[in-house]
Amino acid sequence: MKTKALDQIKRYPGFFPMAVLCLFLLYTPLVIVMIYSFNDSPSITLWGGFSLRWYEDVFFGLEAAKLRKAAWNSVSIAAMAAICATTIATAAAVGMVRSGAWRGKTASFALLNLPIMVPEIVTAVATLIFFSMIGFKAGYATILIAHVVFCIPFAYLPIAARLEGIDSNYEQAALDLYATRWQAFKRVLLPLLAPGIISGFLLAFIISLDDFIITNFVKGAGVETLPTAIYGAIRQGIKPNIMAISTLMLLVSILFVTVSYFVGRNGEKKHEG
Amino acid sequence: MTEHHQENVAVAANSLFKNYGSVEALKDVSLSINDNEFFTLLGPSGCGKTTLLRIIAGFEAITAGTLFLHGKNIADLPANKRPVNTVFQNYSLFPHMSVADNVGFGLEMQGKDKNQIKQRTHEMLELVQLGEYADRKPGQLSGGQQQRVALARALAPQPEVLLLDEPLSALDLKLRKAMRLELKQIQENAGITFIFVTHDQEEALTMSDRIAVMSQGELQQLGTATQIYQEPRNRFVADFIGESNLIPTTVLSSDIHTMRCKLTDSISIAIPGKESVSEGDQGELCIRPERIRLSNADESANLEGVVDGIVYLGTDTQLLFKLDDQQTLSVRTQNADNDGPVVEVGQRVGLHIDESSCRFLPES
Ligand SMILES: Nc1ncnc2c1ncn2[C@@H]1O[C@H](COP(=O)(O)OP(=O)(O)O)[C@@H](O)[C@H]1O
Ligand SMILES: [Mg+2]
Repeated sequence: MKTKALDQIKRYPGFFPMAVLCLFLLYTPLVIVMIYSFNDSPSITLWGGFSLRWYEDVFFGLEAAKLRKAAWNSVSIAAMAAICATTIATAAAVGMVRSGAWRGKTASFALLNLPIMVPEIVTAVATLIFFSMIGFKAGYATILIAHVVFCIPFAYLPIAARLEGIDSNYEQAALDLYATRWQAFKRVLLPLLAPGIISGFLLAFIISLDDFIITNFVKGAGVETLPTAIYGAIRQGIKPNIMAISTLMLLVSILFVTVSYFVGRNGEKKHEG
Repeated sequence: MTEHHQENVAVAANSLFKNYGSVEALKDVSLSINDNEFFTLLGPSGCGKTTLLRIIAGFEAITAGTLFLHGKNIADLPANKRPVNTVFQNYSLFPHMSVADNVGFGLEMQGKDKNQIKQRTHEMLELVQLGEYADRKPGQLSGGQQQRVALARALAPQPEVLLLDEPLSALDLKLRKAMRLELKQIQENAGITFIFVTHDQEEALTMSDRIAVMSQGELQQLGTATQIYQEPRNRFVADFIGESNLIPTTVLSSDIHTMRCKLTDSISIAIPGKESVSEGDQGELCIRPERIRLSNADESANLEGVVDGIVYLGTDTQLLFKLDDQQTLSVRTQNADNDGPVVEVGQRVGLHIDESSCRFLPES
């Protein structure tokens, strides 16, 4: 059925040129950035031959220490935020999906996922105001807390989707065989849910890693993540080393998305098999 | 309540009610199931069989009523504290665990030691003839094999009662028939009370010590296979169990031994009497198709009919007759001994009804 439907779409006139145009618009800027990151010239528009000098610059140049610090902040915040968000999202998903029907369930679901729809700038301003109201000093901790919070819905979605596909009879079978609720969760539900949790974790990690707006609002002076550091650097003029950093971040993202894809697919196969 | 407990009663349910919102899934169900009994809950889809089973397992709370297991009130006992195991309709084997780990799961949760678990798991897999599949994942087994693993898993912790929710429904006919006998044998050997749910009356009749027929959340009749087949208590049971001719009738005369019931405008038959039935009562006659014989005119034919249809069924032939008042009557003749009159559509034939097997079903 699926392939047949695809066949039919392919036969629409103009499908092919349209698809090519879309892909072109989507990927040309990225490809240009990747190519020019290997440019030997300090110009960002003129090609001066192949070189790795901007990568060298990123790792050992004048700004290397600053960038390394920012990268470390980014990665450590992303890792911790993703771990916290995934844990909370897992608990929320089990609660939401396995609790049967109750008043306000739909509202809770909307509430849980609303942050994805709310314009990020609004969340950013609100978070900033919240932190200043409770007298939190802006810095590493405020970034981390903000990231945990906005990552939750992103971690929640793949976990809940996976959980909905798991028959609740498995947990009941475990209870029937004398497992406590915790044992049923740990021995039966968690292994079956793992692909969803891993996807949720990776998604949260990526979302946290490339967040700019909220981070920029709550970071305070002196603490930078990679996106805010890049933004800061660009304000003093675009240097090709920015392209090298961008390319590296892109690679990390692609890596994560690929892993997430294979984990999801593998889990599905196992589940069916 | 414990003082009412009888030695050999495994499960006793009294006036069980279960509502899902406005849906009444169980209405005033009372039954008691004996030790070592193969007890079947039989009824059409949606009649509340699974609900009753899930209540006994502890997955659903009771809306009203009481539930005892070996004299102990278990209404408030959580599922994981009840010495009762379930074979789920879709088996629900843990897909990420090996067959052996599945079977050993209950024992592990009970905190049995490793050697004991290993030995018992091995025993159980031998019992269901899956010894060499211990290391496979459930996904690598056929439906029939998964069914056996589910059975082994539920039997391993030696529950007081085993609950089976349509365990054979996913299997093909041949395998299903073989499994019926095997299940029955396993039950007898294990000496465990089985509560078996099915919508398949043939399955129920062949395996069960006793059958509870349910419809729309209510218990219709409880008895042995012979009892519910031969003495159906109402129209639903007569219609659901086997085939029957249900003919509207009026009681012409009645005493304890016999009652005379109208069959057609001109013909009546004398059937066994029944208490609390009196002259003039309306109801239905239940006549089993295999209790009607073709009969030559010289024999004692009760009535005559015109052949309206012939359906060849292999072992049997079903003949449809039109009676004088246009009432249809279904008759089954065995093909092993039909060197008697061979009939054709349109032919007028004498019929003999075994009157002692007919039952009067009062209007409810
Ligand atoms: N969780 C539930 N919520 C609402 N209604 C239910 C639920 N479970 C069962 N029912 C209803 O209760 C009735 C009996 O269902 P069930 O016990 O599953 O029937 P059976 O197993 O005999 O097919 C049906 O009408 C069904 O729709
Ligand atoms: Mg059912």
